[in-house]
Amino acid sequence: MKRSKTGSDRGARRLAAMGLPADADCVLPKISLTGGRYLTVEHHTGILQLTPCLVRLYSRLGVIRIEGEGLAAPEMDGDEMLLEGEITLVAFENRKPAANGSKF
Amino acid sequence: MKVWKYHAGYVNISIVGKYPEKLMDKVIASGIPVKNASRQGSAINAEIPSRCMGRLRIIRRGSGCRVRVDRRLGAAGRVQLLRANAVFAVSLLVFLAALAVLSTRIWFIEVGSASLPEAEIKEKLAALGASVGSRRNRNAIAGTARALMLDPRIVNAKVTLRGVKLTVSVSGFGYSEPAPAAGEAAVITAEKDCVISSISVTSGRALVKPGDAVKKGDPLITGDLSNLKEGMRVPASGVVWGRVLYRVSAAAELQRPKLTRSGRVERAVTVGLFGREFGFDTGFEAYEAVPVGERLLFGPLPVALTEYEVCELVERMESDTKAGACERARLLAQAKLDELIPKGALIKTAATEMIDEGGAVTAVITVTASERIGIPRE
Repeated sequence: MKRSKTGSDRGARRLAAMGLPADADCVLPKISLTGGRYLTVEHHTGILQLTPCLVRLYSRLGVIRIEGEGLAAPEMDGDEMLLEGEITLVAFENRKPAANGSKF
Repeated sequence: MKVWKYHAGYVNISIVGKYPEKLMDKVIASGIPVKNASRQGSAINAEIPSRCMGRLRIIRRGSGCRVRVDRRLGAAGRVQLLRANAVFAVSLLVFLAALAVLSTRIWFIEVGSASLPEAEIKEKLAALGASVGSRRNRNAIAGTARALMLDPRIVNAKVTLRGVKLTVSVSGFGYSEPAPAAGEAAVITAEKDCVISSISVTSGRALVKPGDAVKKGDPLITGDLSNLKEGMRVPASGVVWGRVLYRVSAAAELQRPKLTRSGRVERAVTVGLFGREFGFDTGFEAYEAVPVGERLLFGPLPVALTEYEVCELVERMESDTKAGACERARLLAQAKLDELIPKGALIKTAATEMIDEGGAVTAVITVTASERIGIPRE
């Protein structure tokens, strides 16, 4: 079986071998949605677009696309962002699936 | 958090131009906390702390975006607005000037005197030009102390000026304190027969000295100072410690009653619920219950059934050893002594003596305790 060569895959395998959760390296984006109204994105790498109906953020795994209505960012600090609004979609744009079927 | 934000001050900004997200990204990367960011048309509106405005201007250079300040909010913003307000500046100046003028005068006078009435000293001070509202003058204050000492009743006077407060302390003689009022002690008497070990008088005159033997009710401190001046009376106060002797005795018989099983046994079952037991009923006056079995009934309530073997107890006389009788007598005497000796007393010596009286033993405990023995009386 062909193995993935990406850094995130290698990092994830290393963490799994040590018995640690995948977000322990503080590199992979962590997205938490609370009740369809609040969304927290941790470890993003920048803002690509910020509009009331679409927010796009850079991350190590590609661009995170958040769609909704009346989107605003009440808190932004370092690599953390809290989004508020009617969130309808959270997805990765143009993300290549890992060759070995890994989730990362 | 909102209160902190208000005190720190924050600014509502609008970022307009080419790729405002890019500038926003740089702002966040530089560590500036951004709040309430949202898009309004082509501009991004956000809130940032007032203190970060300088850093924002530096970051903005060459980004192709413009940053517009919409509103300055919070305490810092308000102060900035007030600074430009003429009325505020004038009010501040007036306040400072008033403070400067008021601080040149004396506003508080504190008199500490055990020998002269406070009102009389204040009158003297006013005559010397030191009253509430008069000007602070250090040289004049030094002269005030000397002028006060011209009064033959004043032995020493000390006047100190600290800020707007003048403190005067006067000591002297020849002034008779008012006689003790109702409720104040005119004399302190002995509470028990004792030997005085120490006496400390705070007001009045001591009538006894350490080593004196006194009886209950004897006067120890008096407020009558007629020996100094005819008719002079002050409240009597002070602390008197004395050595009091306690001697108690208690007897215990060599035969003593003891509860023993009579041989009658009954069985009883109790129902236990939440740690409480019900249904225990026996006709014995005194009994001893021994649990012999327990069953827990499983159900919505934690009900337990316990079976007891109940043995009747009857009182029978039993001969005790001499050591046992001595111990009982000693404990009885000790209990009597505990009731006699007050709580604050210090035990100095203690001795126990056992007297054998044939069928009984008597314990005699002798204790010397040091305790406060003065009782104030009107």
